[in-house]
Amino acid sequence: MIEFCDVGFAYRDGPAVLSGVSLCIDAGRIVAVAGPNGSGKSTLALLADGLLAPTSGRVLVDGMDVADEATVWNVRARVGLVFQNPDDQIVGSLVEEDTAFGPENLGVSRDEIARRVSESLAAVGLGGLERREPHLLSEGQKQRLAVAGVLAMGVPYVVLDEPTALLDPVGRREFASILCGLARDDRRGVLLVTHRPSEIALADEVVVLGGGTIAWRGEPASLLADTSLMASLDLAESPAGALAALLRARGRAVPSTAQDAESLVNALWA
Amino acid sequence: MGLTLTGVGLVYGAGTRYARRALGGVDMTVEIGELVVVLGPTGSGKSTLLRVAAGVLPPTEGRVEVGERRLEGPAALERERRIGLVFQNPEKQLFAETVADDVAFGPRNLGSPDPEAAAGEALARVGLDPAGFGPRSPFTLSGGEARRVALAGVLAMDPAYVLLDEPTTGLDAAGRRAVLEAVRAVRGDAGVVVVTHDAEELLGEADRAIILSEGRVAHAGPAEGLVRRPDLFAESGLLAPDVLRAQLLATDRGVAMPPFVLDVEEAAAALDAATRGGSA
Amino acid sequence: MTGAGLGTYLDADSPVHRLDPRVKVGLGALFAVGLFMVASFSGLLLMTLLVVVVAIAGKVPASAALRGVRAVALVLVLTMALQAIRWMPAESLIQLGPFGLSKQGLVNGAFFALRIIVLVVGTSLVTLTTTPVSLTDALERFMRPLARFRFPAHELAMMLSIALRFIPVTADVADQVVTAQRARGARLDRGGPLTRARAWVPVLVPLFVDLFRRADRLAHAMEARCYRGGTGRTRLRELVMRPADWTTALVVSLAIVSVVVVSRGSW
Repeated sequence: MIEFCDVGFAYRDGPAVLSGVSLCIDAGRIVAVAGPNGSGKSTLALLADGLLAPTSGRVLVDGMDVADEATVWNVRARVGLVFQNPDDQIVGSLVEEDTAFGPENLGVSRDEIARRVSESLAAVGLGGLERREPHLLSEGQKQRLAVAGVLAMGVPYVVLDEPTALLDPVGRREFASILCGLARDDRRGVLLVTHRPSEIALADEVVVLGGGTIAWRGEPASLLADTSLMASLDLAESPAGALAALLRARGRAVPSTAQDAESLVNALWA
Repeated sequence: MGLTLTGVGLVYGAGTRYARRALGGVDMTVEIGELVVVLGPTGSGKSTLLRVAAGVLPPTEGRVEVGERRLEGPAALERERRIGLVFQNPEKQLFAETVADDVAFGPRNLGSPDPEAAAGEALARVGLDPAGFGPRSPFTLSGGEARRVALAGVLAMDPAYVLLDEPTTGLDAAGRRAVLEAVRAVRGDAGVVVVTHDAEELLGEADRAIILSEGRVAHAGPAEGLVRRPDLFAESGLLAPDVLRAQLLATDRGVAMPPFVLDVEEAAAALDAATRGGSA
Repeated sequence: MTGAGLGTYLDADSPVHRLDPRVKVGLGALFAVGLFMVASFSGLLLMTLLVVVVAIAGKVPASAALRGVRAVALVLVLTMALQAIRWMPAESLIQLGPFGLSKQGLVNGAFFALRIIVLVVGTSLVTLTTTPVSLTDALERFMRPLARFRFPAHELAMMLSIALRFIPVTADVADQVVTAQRARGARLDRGGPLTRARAWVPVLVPLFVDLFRRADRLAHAMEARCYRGGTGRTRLRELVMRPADWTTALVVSLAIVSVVVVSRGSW
């Protein structure tokens, strides 16, 4: 479990970016963290992996304090982090080299690395592209490569910071299925920082940040069903979500978690 | 009249063993006051199209004309002042010590009599207060603000045509709204071409829409036409806007639907009526 | 998308391409040294033959192999001129005032010029048949023994390989910034050195800012994946010498050495 216990964070001479944040990510669950830009979402992601230490409160990963220098590398070996920018997290000159980067750092044996690399690439749908140069991949493929790199480390927790921000709609869709797979199939704990209603809908719990504190928390269905609540939290509705809301207003039984055309139509003509 | 591309083709590395065709047989026109939306999957040549249209890349085949004048030669970009090109993530280009300086860079180079005034005006057009933002360093701005400053830098040169490559990518909802507002504001005095993969945003306001696929025009016509035929999106490997896709999926199930609409309220009414087995 | 990688690697499926990069780099160095120890035209011709054989074995088209020669054309002309034109020569073919074109000088000039051509073509065969990634791997292996003396061999190799990986990305950003500023009227190709330096500020500043931001993000990503430098790291792919590599290394070294020895014993 990743635990945030009353966490506060501020940069050296700066204002508080986060204050009083408490949340838990358990194995097999997806926790979405939403909020407008500047609400501290990305800082949360960095804290979860020990790349930043909280200024107050504690962040614990399976009981280990991320601020403890002695165990911070163990923390990083248990928490995989996927960033927003596809290019700036790819280190290797070939796809398989990049996926191997994590296990190599952990001193895993060569045969084991090779096995993990091919498993991870297959899991994200990049099997067969081992010898490809990363700059020839699409942005969506690069993001999936980043996930593969993290999976190859065998991490029980995956933190993703707006992973689809720079992807096109098709890329986002492909990524959504990978997100679900992480938690459902592999029983990993997933922390997903996002502002997209379609991704919030995938989560088990959603925490909304506003000005560095938790402005709302609960189930995605409740949040997505309340248009005015979303507006007050500075969250934009998706067009599909807006359509669903209008249909609900007309008495149709469309769940608030129906955030794309397929789910909508399925609900209408179940 | 207008910015016209006729039979435009572009082959990178033409004549070498690395030759790769990026565009073929593209026709496109934009008049002042029009908004044209260009859609297409990754690698379809959308960015290349904008570069050719702006005179950055000379076409291997066909021609590009602004009004009567043909864009020719490698220096076309320098000579053609009337076309403004806004790249993807244009905030990468910000360099000056203050926002005002950066936005005034263009007009100053072009010999404008009052570059500072042009900069102030341009900032206002993109919804940024010149007094507040002018003296700030461009490197301290948020993503959405930096994006709009870069856009202002292009608008300050008073182009007749503005070409934007995915102007809303990577922005949050507030930033996206601000940029779209700026694009709408520009449309009044200029011909605007927007390359996007989020058709939702501007399809409803566009005059015309073009779908590019593998460097060729897979579909071109009034934007309304694309709304009526969302199946055209999938044909080119694109996802149609959810509002349209929902209506399309309904018809795929054999449900009778009126002609498709992009407006969410109307679409809801149509879908609702369809579930009751009648029409709106 | 502009970048396709660095420099002169030409992909093909050939025995030369498949050779261990350390063998190619080592033989390339030996070749260069041997070339400068050759003293006769016949020796030079034999070296040229060696280069031709390797080029054919490596499926390298002549146009690619000779591309480097154009770059040194000026050097070639100067070399020939300096050798051939003498001040008050004892014996000359043509005389122009105190300057004369000497026959011996022409012969010498031709020898030196030819040697430069063979050097350029021969060494370019290494980069034409070896990917930049393999070259850095070879470099890392060569430097590894130095690590014992606190030499940052691993770090240098990592830096080099990351730099290579980011060349296409950086090229694209540079291209975009240059084009954007040109479109805003920046004149990047005019004026004296001072004017030009100032004109490039709007390109260099954003490029460097972008690179630094990238480096920052990449550093975070690397740390997140537990990168702590070279200690305790294993490798997915290690360079391993196969029998073919040893044989080639031996045979070619012997060939080079024999050519040198033979050439120094005759004209």
